[in-house]
Amino acid sequence: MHIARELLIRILAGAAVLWAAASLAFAILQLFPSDPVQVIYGADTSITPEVRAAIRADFGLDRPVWEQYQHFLIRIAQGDLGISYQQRRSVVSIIGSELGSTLVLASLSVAIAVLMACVASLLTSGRRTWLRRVLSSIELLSVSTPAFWIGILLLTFFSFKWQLFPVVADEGWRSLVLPVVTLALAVFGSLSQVMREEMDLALEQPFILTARTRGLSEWAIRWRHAFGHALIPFITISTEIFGGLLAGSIITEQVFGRPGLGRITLEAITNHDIPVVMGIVLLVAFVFVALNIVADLLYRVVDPRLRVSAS
Amino acid sequence: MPLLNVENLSVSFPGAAAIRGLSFTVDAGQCVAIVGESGSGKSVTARALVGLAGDNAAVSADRLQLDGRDLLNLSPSQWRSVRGRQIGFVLQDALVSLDPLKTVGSEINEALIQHTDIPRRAARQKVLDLLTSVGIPDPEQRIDQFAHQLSGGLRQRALIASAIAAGPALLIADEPTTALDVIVQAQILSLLREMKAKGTGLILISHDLAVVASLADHIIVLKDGAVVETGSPKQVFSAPQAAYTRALLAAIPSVQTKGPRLTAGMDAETASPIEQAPSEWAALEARALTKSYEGWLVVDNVDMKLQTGETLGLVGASGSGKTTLARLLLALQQPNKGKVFLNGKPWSHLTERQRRPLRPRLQLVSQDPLGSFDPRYKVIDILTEALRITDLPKREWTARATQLLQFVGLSETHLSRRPRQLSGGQRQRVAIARALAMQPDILICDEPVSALDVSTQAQVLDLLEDLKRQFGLTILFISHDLGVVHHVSDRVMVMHAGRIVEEGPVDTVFAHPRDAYTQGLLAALPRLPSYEA
Repeated sequence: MHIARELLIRILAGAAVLWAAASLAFAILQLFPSDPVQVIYGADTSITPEVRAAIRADFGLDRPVWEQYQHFLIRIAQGDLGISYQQRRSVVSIIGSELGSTLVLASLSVAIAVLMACVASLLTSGRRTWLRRVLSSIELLSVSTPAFWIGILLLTFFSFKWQLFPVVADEGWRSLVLPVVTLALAVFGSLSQVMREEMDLALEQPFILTARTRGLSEWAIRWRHAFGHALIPFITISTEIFGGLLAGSIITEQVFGRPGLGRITLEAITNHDIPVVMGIVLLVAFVFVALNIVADLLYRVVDPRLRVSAS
Repeated sequence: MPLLNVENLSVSFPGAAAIRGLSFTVDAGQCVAIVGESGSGKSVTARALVGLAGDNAAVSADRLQLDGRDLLNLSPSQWRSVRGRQIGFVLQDALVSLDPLKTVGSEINEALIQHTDIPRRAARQKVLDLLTSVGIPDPEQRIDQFAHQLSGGLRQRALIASAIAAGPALLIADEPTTALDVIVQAQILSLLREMKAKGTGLILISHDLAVVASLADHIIVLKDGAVVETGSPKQVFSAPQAAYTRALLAAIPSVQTKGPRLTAGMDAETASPIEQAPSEWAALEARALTKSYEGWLVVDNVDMKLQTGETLGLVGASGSGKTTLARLLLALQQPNKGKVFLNGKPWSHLTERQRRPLRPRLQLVSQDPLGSFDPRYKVIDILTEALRITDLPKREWTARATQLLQFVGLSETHLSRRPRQLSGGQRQRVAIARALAMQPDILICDEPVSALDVSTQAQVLDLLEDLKRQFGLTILFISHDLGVVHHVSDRVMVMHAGRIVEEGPVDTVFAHPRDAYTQGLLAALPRLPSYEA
């Protein structure tokens, strides 16, 4: 019952964050106004003032700021993010059509990176072996190499040289392999570093010594005892990275010519297509709020001390 | 044939020997106690016996045999079959020695899975039996609980259950009662005594001679990695051969040591005590003080007076509300009800701005001085930070800091050290010097010697006594250690579940306790045996 109440509080707090993000975006927009007529017709001077006024009225820009703000909030609450200046489609349908592609890419990449980080940490934490040195070096490379460079290298070898995977084009799962591997490699380093450091710390704790005195094997000690203690920071950073990938893998999507949120973000910004930009800002805020709530729930699964006792 | 036979055991780490030339045997149903202060090598010895001295430790011995089996050249997997199965191991402080993410049942079960092929359902019943056998009530409920849901005593019992799950013939207990209060300590010791009576061989490791006295058949005293004394309890307690053992015995504060100094050698430079003008008001007075957290009464309607010039002891088990009471008296927390008066004037109900000029008169010495120091500060910085608040001119700070260090038995050379470069006793001296910098009237000492070895503890207790005379201090001395409180206090208050259950002159309370809880505390107190008769 406690959990339900706390969840409700978290959701309300999340809604407040979304409202704040929307308001801030709206406020900034008032400081740097953009003219939809300019966006739609460019430098076409044949637009009469009457037509211009009509278009502005269409977007509700002729009304007082306060009224615009009210209207804006009501629309968002109804799930309506407005109409793109440029494409004359609803922002929801624009984002909706690209979201799936980004979601698949980000989920697969993070899932693979998480798996790799767990295996690497379980194999090498608390030990000084050659394997640890090798994996640490790979992590360092991963952390310090930009994703687009990893992507270009992969393309050079696996597409151009050996022609194992397609360069661009959407050819089902085969065209997904290289972008997923690129992003997974790029985020693996920091995930694995955090995980192993936390496991190393856990392995110093007295309860690990107790477990050893029971005759447990090294593997059992790491898997059954140390691993759980590394999970909380690991969940924190994993969800953060996942949110980051959802919000913008712009460059990776460009390198592989993939559709996705990154591409429409870039287009919307260069074209001053304000409704789309606002929609993406709100989506990103929503994603982070939701991921935070999920992470909080996962913490409770991992650590019994965080569960509110009924007594 | 002895159960465990150790001949000439040595353990060394790169650059330092941890233990040299240790020999002893343990028979079934016998208890060998290894006693020593921190750094004596006692814990390293215990770990070497289960092959866990560490990767960089060099272990050598002429003989190391368990039940006739040579332990010296075991492979890692052979060691694993010894640990838990043949030798059980109990560490101190079960809060950190049990995995906080696992239920106690699964921790105990682990040893069963590792060493027996008991089926799952039978295993649960076996765990329940083990919990019952170590005296845990409601095992059906406890088995699925986590360490943080159990009291200190229950945790320690669960830890013991996990060590004996696979039926080892030898049990090594490394400071098994150190984190526990006396009543729980007595219960754990009697549990160990039962296991000994059933034929388990026991190696008991402790810094406290009084704790091992009732259990040991043979005592080994270690100092700096070497054996300084070995013999039966009778030999060790009635005719200690080594000067170190005698000093160790003399340093234990108890009913018998009331009055004289605990450290030999230097007699008190009996600086004539400052005569206190009899005061109309108590130095510190609490009236009907009450504090609760989340509906839990931590301090329950406490009335107390700390008279000017006295040392008032406050005793109680962990969780009794002692520290919360101290925080209320220091006005670091506000009571829900009741008031505190300083020299008869309002104290707890002032605003913080009004209180601040008076704060220097009331100083705190806490258990863990390391935690109360900024680790990057040198001792001089720690002291001048306090002097900054006084009206001493800046050019005199260094001289004053040196003087303060001399008061507490340190010297100018310590000014440039950092907290981590000091020993535990030296840190506590610096903490006391910092408190003295404010020229306080009252010291509130919250477990000031609990983290210290017995001989260091003796030095700090003597120091507090000297300072009290020299500066005419009034002291509230909070401790769970009855011996210590009896040694230092003029009067004593016993706290239990947030209430003061007994109060009076210290000798009266200790000799004729009226309250049932106080009687229980005193009965549980481990005592050094006397062999006069």
